[in-house]
Amino acid sequence: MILTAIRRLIKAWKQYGLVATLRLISYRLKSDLVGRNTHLGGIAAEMYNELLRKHQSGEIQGIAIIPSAFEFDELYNQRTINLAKYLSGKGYGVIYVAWQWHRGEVLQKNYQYVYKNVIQVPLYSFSETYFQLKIFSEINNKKYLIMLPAKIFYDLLFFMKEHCFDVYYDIMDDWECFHKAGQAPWYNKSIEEAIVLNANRITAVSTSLVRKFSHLRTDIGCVGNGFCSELLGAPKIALADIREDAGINIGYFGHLTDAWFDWQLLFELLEKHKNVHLNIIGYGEPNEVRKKAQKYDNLNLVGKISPRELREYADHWHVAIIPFKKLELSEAVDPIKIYEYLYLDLPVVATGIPHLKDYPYVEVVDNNSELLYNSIVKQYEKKLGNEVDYSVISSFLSDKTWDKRFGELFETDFLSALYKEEV
Amino acid sequence: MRVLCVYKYATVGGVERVILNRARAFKEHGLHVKQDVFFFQDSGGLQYFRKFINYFQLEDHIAVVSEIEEKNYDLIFSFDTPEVFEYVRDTSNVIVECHSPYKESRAYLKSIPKNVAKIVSPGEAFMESVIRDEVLSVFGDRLFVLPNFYISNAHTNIPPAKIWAKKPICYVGRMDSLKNTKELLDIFTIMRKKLDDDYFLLLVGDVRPHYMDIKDTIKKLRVEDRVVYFRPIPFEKVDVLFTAVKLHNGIFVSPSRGESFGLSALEAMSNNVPVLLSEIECHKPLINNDPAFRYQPGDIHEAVAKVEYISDNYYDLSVKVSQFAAKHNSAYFIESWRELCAGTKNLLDTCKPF
Repeated sequence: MILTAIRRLIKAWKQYGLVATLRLISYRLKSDLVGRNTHLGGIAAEMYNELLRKHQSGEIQGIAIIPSAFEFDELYNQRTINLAKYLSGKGYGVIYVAWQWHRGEVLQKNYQYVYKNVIQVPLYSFSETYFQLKIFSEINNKKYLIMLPAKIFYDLLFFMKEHCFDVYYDIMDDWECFHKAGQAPWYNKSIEEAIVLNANRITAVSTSLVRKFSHLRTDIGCVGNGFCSELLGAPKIALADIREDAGINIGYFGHLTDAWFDWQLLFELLEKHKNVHLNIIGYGEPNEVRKKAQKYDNLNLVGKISPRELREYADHWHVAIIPFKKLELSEAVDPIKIYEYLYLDLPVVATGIPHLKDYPYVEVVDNNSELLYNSIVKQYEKKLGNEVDYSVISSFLSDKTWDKRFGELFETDFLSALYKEEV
Repeated sequence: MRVLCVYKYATVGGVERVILNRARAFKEHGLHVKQDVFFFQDSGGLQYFRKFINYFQLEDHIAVVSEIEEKNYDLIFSFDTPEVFEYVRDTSNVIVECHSPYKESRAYLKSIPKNVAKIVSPGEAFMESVIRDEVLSVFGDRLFVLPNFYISNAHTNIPPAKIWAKKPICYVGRMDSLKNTKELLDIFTIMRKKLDDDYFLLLVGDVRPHYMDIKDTIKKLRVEDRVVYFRPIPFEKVDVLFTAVKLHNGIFVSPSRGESFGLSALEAMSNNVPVLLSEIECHKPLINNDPAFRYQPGDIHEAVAKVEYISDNYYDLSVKVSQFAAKHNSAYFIESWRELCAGTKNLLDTCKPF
C-alpha cells in the first residue's frame, strides 16, 4: 500500500511537478475524503481551499469558473484567456478549466497559478469533483461562465445554480456550423438550447449569432471580440513603403483549416498575380495544401509563431486579408485578428464575413480572385497614398479593448438581479 | 400586542412568507402587533427572512429572537412545531397553526395539550377537508380559519424584463412527491409533442433530492432543451418573478396532491398570471371552482388541453384570475385576526390601532 502511494506520488511529480505534488500530499494529510476522490481531484480541492483562504483574507472578492478550449497562455490573444485575465484584474479568483479530449490527456500547466489568482484545472478533474465547489458557499459573488456549450458543462449547470453561481453563456462561435464542418464533435443542439434558456445572461460575438438564438432569448447582448495593446506592442507599424520589385505584401494569421479558409481562392490569386506576396502565419492547413504551397514562389507558409513575434512579420505587410469561404459559419464570426490588423495600421480585405464591411479600412468582397485582387490593390494604394487615417482607426478601436468588451459582458441582468440584495 | 411565532426551520418557504406577510399587514393597517419569531434551526432561509424585514422596514412589527421567553407574550403561535410545548408552561396561550399539507407532519395534532387556545388553519377548505378529521373532537369549538392572503411585494427597483422568446409554464415551490412535480414534467412532455414549440417549463424552488434528479428526469423525457431551473428566490422578489412570467404570457401550473392553501398560486393570480391547478379541495376556492383553471390530477391530456385553452384566451383569463385573487387581501386577514383576538382571552384591545 505504501509502495503504491509512493508510486502515485512519483507519477504525480513527473506529470504535474513538485508544487502540485506537495499540494496533493497536503490535501491527503488534511482530508477525510481519501478513497472518495481521485488524487487529482484532491489537488484541485487543495487549490480551491487556497482560493477560499484568499477570499477570507480579502485578497479576492469572488470566484469565477471559466472553461476553455485552450491551456492558459498569458501571451495568447484568445477570448477566454483574456476573460480570465480581466476577471483576475477585477478581484476574482479564477478556476480556469482547460479542455481535455480524454481523461488521460496531459496538459502542461495543470494545478498551477497561471496568472494572478488564476488556477488551471483540467476538465475531467474539475467535472468529476465538482461537489468540492460547495466550499465556496460563504462567497456571494460567484460566476460560472460557459464558453463551450458541451454537455459536460451543462451537466453542472443546475448544481451551479443551486449553489448560487450566476450562470453566463458567451456564444463565441456558431458551434452547430463547426460541428457540421467536422469540428466540435461534442456538440449537441439540444444541450446548447438548454444552456441558452437557462443562463442568467447570454452574450454573442456577432449579430448573426444573436439572431440565431432569437427564437429562445430576446435579451442576448452582442459583445464582439477585442484586442490587447499590451500584447501587440506599439501601434501603427505596418509598411507604407514600396517594395523594390513594386510587389504587394499581404498577410494573414490564424487557423488554416479548409473548413472555412478559402485556399482555392488564394491559389487562384497567387497564380494570376505574381506581384502579390503572401505571408501566412498559423496552423491547421491540410497536407495537400502544404504540398501545393511549395509550387508558389510568392507564398510563404510561416507556421505557428509566438504572439510576440507577430509584429516582426506584420511590419513588412501592406495589406492584411481574411479569406474565408462564404458560409453560415463565417457569417457568425467576429475574428479577433481584424482588431489586431487595424491596431497595426493594416487595411484589410475580407471575404465571407459580410458584417466586417462596417469597420474602417475594411473591404469585403465576394470570393472571386479578381475582385479580391482589385480590392487588395485599392487598399495598397490607399496605404501608400497615406489615405489610411489612423485617428479613424484609433477612434474605432477605443471601445474594442478586452476591458471595455468584458465590461458589457457583465452588465446587470434580470435573472441575477432576482437574487441580489438591492441597495 | 406581542406574540411569538415558532417554526422548526427557517427556509424560503410558505410559512415564513405567511409570517412576513402578516407583519406587513399589521404595518399597513396600523395594528399594534409585534411578532417575535423563533426558529429552531436555520436551514438557509434566515438571511432572506431578515433581509425582507429590513427591506420593508418592519422592525416595529417583527423580529427574530433566539430564545423562547414565554412571559413576554400574549399569545404563542406554533406553526406545525409541537416542540414548543417543551418550552411553554401555560399551554392555554398557545395557538396551534397547522399549515402542513404533509400528513406525517400533522400527526402531532393527535397529541397536543387539550387546553391550547385555538387550532388554526390558513384556509376554510383545508380546515374542513383535512384538519377537522384529524383533531380530537374536544377541539371542535376551537377550530379557527386565519386566512392566508396576498400583499404586494412589488416595490423593488428591478424592472420586469422580457428575456425569453417563449411562454413559460411556471411552477414555484417545493418539488416533491406531494407537489407531484413529475406530473408537471409529463404534462410538459405531452405539450411538446402536441402543441407548437411555443413554451418552456420554468421550475423555481427546492427539489427534494430523494424525490427525483431533475436533470436525469428531463433527460429521460427528452425535454431538457426546454426546461429552466432556478433555486428558490428571496421572498421580496416573488412578485418580480411573476410580473416577468406575465410579461411572457406565462401560465402557472400546479399538479399538487395536497395544499393547505396554495399561496404560490395566489401570488401568481394576483400578478395576473392565469393558473391551471389540480382539482383538490384547497385549490377550488382560489379559482372559484372555475373549470377553466382546474384539471383532474393524473389526466395529463386534460391538463394539456386546458393549457392550450388558457393560452388561446390569455387576456380574458388573466383578468379573471386577478379578480378571483382580489378577495384574498390583507383586509380580509385583519378582520379574521381581530375576530381571533376577540375570541381568545379577549385580546382585541391589545392590538388596537396606533
